[in-house]
Amino acid sequence: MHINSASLTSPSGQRIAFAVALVVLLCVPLVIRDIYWLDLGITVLIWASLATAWNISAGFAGGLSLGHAAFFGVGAYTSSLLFLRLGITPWIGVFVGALLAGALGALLGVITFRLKGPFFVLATLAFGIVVHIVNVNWRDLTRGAAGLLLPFRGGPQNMLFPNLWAYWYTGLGLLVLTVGVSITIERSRLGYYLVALREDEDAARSLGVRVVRSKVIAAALSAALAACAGAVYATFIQYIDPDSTTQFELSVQIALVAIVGGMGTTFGPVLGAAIVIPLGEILRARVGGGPALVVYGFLLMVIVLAAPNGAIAGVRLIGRRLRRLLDSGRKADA
Amino acid sequence: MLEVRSVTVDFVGLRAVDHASFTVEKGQIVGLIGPNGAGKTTLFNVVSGLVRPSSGAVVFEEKDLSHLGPADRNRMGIGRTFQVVKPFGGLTALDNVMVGALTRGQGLAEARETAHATLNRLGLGRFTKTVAHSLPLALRKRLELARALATGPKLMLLDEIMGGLNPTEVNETLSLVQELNAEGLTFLVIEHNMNAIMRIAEKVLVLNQGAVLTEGPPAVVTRDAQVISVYLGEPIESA
Ligand SMILES: Nc1ncnc2c1ncn2[C@@H]1O[C@H](COP(=O)(O)OP(=O)(O)O)[C@@H](O)[C@H]1O
Ligand SMILES: [Mg+2]
Repeated sequence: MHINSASLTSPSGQRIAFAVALVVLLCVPLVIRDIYWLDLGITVLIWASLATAWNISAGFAGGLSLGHAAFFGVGAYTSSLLFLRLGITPWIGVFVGALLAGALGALLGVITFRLKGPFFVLATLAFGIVVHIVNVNWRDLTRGAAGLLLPFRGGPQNMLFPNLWAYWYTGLGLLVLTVGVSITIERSRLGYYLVALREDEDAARSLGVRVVRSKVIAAALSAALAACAGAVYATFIQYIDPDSTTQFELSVQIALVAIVGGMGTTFGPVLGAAIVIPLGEILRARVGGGPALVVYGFLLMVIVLAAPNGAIAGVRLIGRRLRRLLDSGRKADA
Repeated sequence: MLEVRSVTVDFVGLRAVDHASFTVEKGQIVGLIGPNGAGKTTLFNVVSGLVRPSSGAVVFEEKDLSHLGPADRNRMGIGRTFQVVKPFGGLTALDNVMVGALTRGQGLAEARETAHATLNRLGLGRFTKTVAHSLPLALRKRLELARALATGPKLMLLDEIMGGLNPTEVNETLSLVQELNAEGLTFLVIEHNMNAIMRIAEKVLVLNQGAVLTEGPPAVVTRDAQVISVYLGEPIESA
């Protein structure tokens, strides 16, 4: 699969599209009253944030991680445990989790930055599995497979809301944060270094790009943001266990969402979440069981084959065609 | 300025560089010639820090570089191009060159200006927005040079940047090198085009099977019987 090149200079059209999308997303809870759809929408927001976080290290820097569930889990467990054991609000816990995951991400980055291709993937995969095993077996801390139930205590000041729309706005805040960080990185010095390293590491180093520093910063930011998504997820579902946070399948799903949408692009992972998550959910509800998984897998294959550079590439193509059509229309008028 | 001290590079079962020693003085243009497989590119990799020598040392401006990686060596003032070009294929020519300008500490806006100026100077002004992998080889070679120049080096290592260029392009490149040299940039140049080397180099090193066979002014070196037999095959016409 070819990795998209990040477009480092942004057309002003993108800014307008961004503003429009934000307004639409802000209005969603006013329009959609159905609990089922709003619930699904919040799940999409969390997944979009998670895939965007993943994309910062995988898409921009080029190391495909299959261990990101670990950071999501660290975020979910840190904020939940701080709340349950010490009564610290998840509004603070989310940042503690992010710091912890960031440190863990940096450590993993220091260990793995030298590894290339499949070796890097295997190292992240092993890391994810180790964290999962620790999570399942460290019962004194995590209660293992029994999981943690978040009591509905205190309400909004503890990121616990009686109504879904408040979760929608929390999820939206999370998405704005992760996409904001992603855009900032892409347009910064670091963004240039990461893409240069991804395109050709030897050339980048010979031009003065420091490999370890760049990759470790990206890994830490990516892990910290994934942890933020984990903390928000925990207060949304109000129950976490190893299966729903640190399991290997989750790591695969994170990568999948970003790849389907278009890795290495800012909005690809967001689009990927908007496609993959509802697809899986609707199939599970309408078809159910084994057949749902078969159809799900088949549809994902079709998407990846039809748009090997991600769905976002298709959207861009349509955008360009439309613009050309409009331009020629304008010329015809003149 | 640059001192290579008895550098040896052993690959598995093969000695690519064999106790090579030489110096490059500030302001010089030094040519490095030798048959294919002589170890020229490997020597560049040692100087730029991509390959660690099995023994020997590289000293740049009185500092031993042994413990510095390629990024730090570039930041000290060593720039290079690659014989097999390594563009950031998915990025535009401008973004390629900006990477070089950014590592010397310029902000984004300043780096963009540096990149524009560098591309214009090298005649790539029309291609700023062209994605690097869609440029023809000759232009990609020039992009290598632009990118390295944008880092603001004191010593520039050029690895066969004239291969595949037509005579006009070779002339353009030669006058550019001389111009930059006049502005104070020192060059170490690997080149197969003997004619080109004769015209710009004040000293030529001949590498054969990893060892420095001989060195001296180009006119003297080319008359050297050994060089003529290992490298040139036959005496060349006076250029
Ligand atoms: N990374 C490497 N591993 C093993 N052998 C290498 C490597 N790089 C170069 N060589 C070998 O070292 C010798 C010198 O190569 P090189 O420095 O590219 O020569 P030149 O640039 O003078 O043509 C060649 O025999 C080449 O095959
Ligand atoms: Mg060579």
